[in-house]
Amino acid sequence: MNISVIIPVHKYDDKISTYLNSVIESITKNVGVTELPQVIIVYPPDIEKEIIGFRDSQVRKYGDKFSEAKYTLVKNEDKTDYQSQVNLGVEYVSTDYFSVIEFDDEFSTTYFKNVEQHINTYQDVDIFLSMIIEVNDKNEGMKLTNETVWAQQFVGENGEMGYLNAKSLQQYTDFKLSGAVIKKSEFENIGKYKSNIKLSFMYELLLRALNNACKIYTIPKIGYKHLATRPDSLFGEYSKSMSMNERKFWFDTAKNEANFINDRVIDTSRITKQIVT
Amino acid sequence: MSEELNIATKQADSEKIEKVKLSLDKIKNKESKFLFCVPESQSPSASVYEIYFHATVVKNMGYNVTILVEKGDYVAPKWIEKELTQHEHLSLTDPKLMVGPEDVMIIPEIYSNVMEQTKNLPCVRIGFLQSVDYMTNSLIPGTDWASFGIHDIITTSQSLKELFETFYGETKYKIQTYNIGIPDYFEKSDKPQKPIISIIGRNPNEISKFVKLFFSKYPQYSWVTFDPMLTKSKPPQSMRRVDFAKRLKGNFAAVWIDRISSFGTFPLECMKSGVVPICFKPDIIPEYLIERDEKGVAKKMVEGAGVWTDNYYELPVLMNDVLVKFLDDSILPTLYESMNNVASKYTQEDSEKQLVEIYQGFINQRTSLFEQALTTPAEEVNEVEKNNKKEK
Repeated sequence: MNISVIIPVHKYDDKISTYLNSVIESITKNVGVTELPQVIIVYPPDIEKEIIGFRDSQVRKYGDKFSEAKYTLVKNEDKTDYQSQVNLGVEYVSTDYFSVIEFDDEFSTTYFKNVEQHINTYQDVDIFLSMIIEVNDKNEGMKLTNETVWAQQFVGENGEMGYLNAKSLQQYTDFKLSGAVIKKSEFENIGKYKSNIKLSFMYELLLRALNNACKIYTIPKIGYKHLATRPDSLFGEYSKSMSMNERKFWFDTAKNEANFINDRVIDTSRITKQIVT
Repeated sequence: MSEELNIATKQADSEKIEKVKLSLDKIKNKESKFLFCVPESQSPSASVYEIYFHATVVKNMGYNVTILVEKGDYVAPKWIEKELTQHEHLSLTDPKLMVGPEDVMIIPEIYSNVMEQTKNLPCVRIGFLQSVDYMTNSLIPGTDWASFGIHDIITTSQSLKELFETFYGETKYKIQTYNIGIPDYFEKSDKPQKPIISIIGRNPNEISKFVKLFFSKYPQYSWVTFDPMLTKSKPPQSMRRVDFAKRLKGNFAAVWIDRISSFGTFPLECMKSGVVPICFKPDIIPEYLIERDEKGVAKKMVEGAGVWTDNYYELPVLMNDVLVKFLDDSILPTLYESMNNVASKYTQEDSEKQLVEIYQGFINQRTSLFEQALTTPAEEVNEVEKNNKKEK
């Protein structure tokens, strides 16, 4: 299989262990493929023992179906923000494409079959977005994400359905790269994720990719289940701690920074504080 | 005086025999004409396509084919493949139009006026029944095709034959059926299908109502596109059938609402293209939905021919079910297999074989009639003619 899966993990406890179990289970349950992907777990040094223990427990659980050789454990001794974890993981990717799954999310059982089919059909596409079903903690579907590229009114008269274009992305920011399948070479060419950008780093990468003539297409199948209501998730933290002004700042910043390949230092002093009158 | 009469009678008989011989020679040398009446239709219509298909089959059998149209400035439909429309086209009022006893005229049900106007022509006339609605619309109450001297009928399904016989009698007509063929360019896509739904129907209000009801009930799917299957030009136009097939196979499902359809070609095109048809059952259940026993008696409904309902207001719900399954990738492969099984019985190859048999039958029938006339003494022929006239 020409895809690797990166799982960035920044801490470890019983809950995360359960989530990770579900991630691996969702990979092993995939049907319609002859081979399962390589998994790259990126983690900070302080949880190394737990990660190795987790890997071993999974190897015992799945045996030959998903053996030890399928795991690459990457100890990250540097910054452990999401972007840095992913960027490091990509360095260990030996396939042409990779995907990133958040540890509390799951792939659908036909995710890899559909990804393979689309990679083979649309070889000029650099990023395949996955249609994401956002669920709550009761596993109830709340909304879909990344589906709007299939609306004629969204892509516009000259846009091609299924493809994301810069004009539409400027106006509508709700696209996620969770579960996306990205061409490793293009990810590196356009400068990877930027850890200096908070909140809107996925949006910035998408804009930057389009500015660099990458093709982005949404696979029209629900391939990825995202737990949207975990209170301590990255975006959950942002929604709690960031004011509307700050959020707006990061999206404006993303639009500016998308013109640069480098991860430039962001002057956050421009974030205006909310004044309650 | 009587000798002169005898000479004149003998001369007339010999002229008749010469004419019969000439007609027979023309049939045997494939010089006889097949005349197909075609109604004008610039928007795609399976029934018009089918007439051109018949004409092409007959042309391939080696006979002369002429398409008869109402107007002199008629333009062959662009949405049909060129290979099927490359025939001589003549106006029904063209003075060049001559028919002999060796010729065969095929008149579609919509043209009861042509049936009447041509009733004194010496050629064989065959009624072509594809739509019960078109037929009844064009008939004056109390008349039927036998009133115009038409007794041979070709139709597209056993259901239509049975329905026709129920209302117009079983003995007056010789009805032959064949299967419509779906062109091979209706094929499965080798690319993943898109979350787009083709939508086809006879009544634009019913289509528009369906779309509005669907979006009202399922606002979460407001991003889904319904494709009316027209060109992207301004103004949108009908597509060539081959382009229609290309567009159709890329969409994952199709909605079909046509209450008065007599056959239902579109759902078959969908099934052949691996597109799930979600259909409102027309008044006449399509033949391909009926499972028959060896004697041709209807036993039960065929399963797995897409999704069908007889409740219009259930259509949006069924559409949603299929959409959810498509997005979840849980449409069972068995559905596609059964759709393929249903559609596989309707190939143009088989259709052509059946039509060759039917048209060859008409030719053989005519040939043996002429041969019989040549071997029967003139007095007997005259006697038969006299009796025939009396009967009429």
